[in-house]
Amino acid sequence: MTHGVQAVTRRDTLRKMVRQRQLYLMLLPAIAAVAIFTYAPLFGWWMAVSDYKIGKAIFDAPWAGLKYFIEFFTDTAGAGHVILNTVVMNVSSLILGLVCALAFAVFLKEVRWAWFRRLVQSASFFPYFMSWVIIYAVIYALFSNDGAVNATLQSLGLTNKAINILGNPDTSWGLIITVNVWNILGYNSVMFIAAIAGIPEEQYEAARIDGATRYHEIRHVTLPNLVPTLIVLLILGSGSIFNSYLDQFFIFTNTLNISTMEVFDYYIYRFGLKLGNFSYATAVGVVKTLVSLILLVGVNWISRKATTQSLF
Amino acid sequence: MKNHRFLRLFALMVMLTMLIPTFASFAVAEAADEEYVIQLIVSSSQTHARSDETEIGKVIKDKFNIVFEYLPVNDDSEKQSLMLATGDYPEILRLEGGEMVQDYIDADALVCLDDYIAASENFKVRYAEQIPYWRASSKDGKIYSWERYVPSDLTNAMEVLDIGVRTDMLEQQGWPNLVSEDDWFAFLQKAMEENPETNGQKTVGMVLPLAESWGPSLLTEFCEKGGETNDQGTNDAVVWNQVEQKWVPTWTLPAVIDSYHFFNRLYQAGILDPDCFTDTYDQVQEKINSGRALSVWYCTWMSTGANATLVSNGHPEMQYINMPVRSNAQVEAGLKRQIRVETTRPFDSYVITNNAKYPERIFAFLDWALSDEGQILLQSGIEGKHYTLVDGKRTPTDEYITGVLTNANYSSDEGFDLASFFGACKQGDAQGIAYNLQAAPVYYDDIFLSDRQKEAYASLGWDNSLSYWLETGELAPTGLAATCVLDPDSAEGKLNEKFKAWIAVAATKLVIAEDFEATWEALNQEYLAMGVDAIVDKYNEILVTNQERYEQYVITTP
Repeated sequence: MTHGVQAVTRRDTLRKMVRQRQLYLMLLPAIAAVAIFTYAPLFGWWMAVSDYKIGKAIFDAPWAGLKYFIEFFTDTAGAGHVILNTVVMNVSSLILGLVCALAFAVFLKEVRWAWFRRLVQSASFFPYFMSWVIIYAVIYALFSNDGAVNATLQSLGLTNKAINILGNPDTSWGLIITVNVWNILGYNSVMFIAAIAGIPEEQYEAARIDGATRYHEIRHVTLPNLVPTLIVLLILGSGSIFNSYLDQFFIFTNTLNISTMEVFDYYIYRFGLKLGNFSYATAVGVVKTLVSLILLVGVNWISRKATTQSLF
Repeated sequence: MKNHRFLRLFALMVMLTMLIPTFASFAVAEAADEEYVIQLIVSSSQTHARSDETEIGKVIKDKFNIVFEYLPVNDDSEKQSLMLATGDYPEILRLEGGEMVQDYIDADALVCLDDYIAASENFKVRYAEQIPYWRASSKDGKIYSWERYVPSDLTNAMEVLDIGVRTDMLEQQGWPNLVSEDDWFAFLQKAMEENPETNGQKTVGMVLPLAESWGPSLLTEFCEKGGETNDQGTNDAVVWNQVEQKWVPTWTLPAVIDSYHFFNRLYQAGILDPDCFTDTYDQVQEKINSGRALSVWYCTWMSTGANATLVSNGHPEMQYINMPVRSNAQVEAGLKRQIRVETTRPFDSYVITNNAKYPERIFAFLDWALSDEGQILLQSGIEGKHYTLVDGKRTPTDEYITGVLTNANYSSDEGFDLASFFGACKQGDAQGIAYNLQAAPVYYDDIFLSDRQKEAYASLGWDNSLSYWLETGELAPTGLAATCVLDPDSAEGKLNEKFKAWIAVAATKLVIAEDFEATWEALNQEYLAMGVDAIVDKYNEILVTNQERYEQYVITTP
């Protein structure tokens, strides 16, 4: 009996698939892209456990075991500051980026002039599409020793000596976090603006009938409705905690600030790709991916327990 | 009937068999004749995308039907290992260092040149001195690469890179003959005080591109200014002792410590450009071009283009000249300077890869480029346009002289740089005139120094622009030193890479340290813990091995 029901269900599913074949065909490119560009490269992880010689076939490389993983973890001079820098800058960028975007979206909702709202929203979205080279050129013009900020401070007599923001290990975390928040503000706020648009107007009307001020509407209607979006973005972002924009760090890192600026991706590039130590680079990359996976699952689990909201 | 059919079929097969070689020979002829466009990755920006857009490039195209197409990148050295990993490398490639060449050899990515060399007319003659060294440094004793700017002789290729300094500053202070670090410190400090701005911009005392991958090695350069060592290998943990013919540690060399200390003094006094740690080559060039920089450390070749720009911008008085520098200890000791004459230059190696469509055509061109005719075209240009023959000697034309002195892009515009990787030997022809007329001492001072530069050297009391170094230096052929290469997969090779990463940061810390001595002591503890002696020992071990191999090849090489 059960078998019969299952057969009917399977047949129904197949029929449904045939009926919706156009939809499945439309899905096919996305599946192919994920398979080719995300899952197929995982075979390259073999390099992490073998002595891969650059230019030779990957699977011809002799077995090396966990040599490169041990090398990474025992090389505390290399690994310690890399992990710290990555976590501090990316976690801060993620949390501050979401909080600022949320506040920004609420601010935009409250703006009465539609033209001003659209203008500010478009302007805030613009940095997301700028290349890091252009962004660095702007930052350099502002914050280098001869930049506009130092020139202004010195002309006002506020400082005698230029403040080297771009080459100072004490300011590098703050610099990167600020730049990241600014860069992602418009993009993240779009998510929140979309969520705000989905809040039923009745909730606001009910709040107003109950005598709510605009502050109360924000606190008791808007923000609670934005929590699910915030959590989804937080969970998604937690999976990328160890991912950094390589081009950003490639440009912003120098010998003065490398101790607080070097992140996983840049470390992999410097000691792996640039020097041809692909096995070592892959091992570090594997560590990064596994930790990211654990973080993603962990944050999702915590979220489910704490707020009943989760991705999976 | 059947037999007839069989006979007809047989006859057809015979005819086809006879025709195949004919078609094949057509294909070969076509291969030899068709326009051969070779893509090249270049780190310097060319003013043309294709070589045949230049006068010299057109001659090459007419003669060989070869055209070079340039793909400029910022730092090609960073892409070399990635290209090898993906197999996506061009037909001709510049490789930086013997390690990288060996990686490509190990991956069977290169065309072995031995057979071509055996049949060559010019390669084996031009590189007669280099070939045994190249064989000695190759694992299998075969040759897969050649190098740019070798062979060189001191007369035509004296490279002394000290400090490029603005001549108006020298004039302002009464044309002082600066040599010691104290001289320079006092001079630059005074110049900064008296000239806080240049053309409305803040003046910077000294510039250098430390953000380049090779930048940190510039901070050790006192090691070549006098004494037993020169700067061979200073990107690594070792430096070459020319007198004792052995490798010694860089970090603990007194001249290197003095060098760091000199930069520390400049930095603390606000003379060293505080942006130098983040400045790349282009940013430094801009600061020299505008005259904002009072001086440029080591990269004095940048001042050639800058001088032309300063003249065209109406500031000929600011033009730069090269002047010597030494540590106080070196001045006191009065030791001769080991002026490096590069026997080989593995950091500027060129290879034909197995992606080459017609390697035989590339080598044929290379072999011709190494002939007298080839070197003259590539380095002196076209007779009648760039030079004329006067009493059988090449003499630069007015057009050429004006171009060089007034247009920073002249060489590139005309195509002089378009194929420098095919030799560009720093030698002279049968008359002893350097192929590169700008480097020929017989012309250099008289023609290629601007009036302002001549005035400056005359005011300093120098006989010519190289007087100081000729009096205080001696020849130091690098010989086997450049052939010593660590296996990147060896323990010493990996330690060396760690050291390189460490020294870049440590050198920066030393330069900006408020307490130099204490910082050096602290860093020295880190240095000792790294066990760098193993690298020094390995280098010397390789030196001994290569010496034996060299002796073997110098005898057997035809």
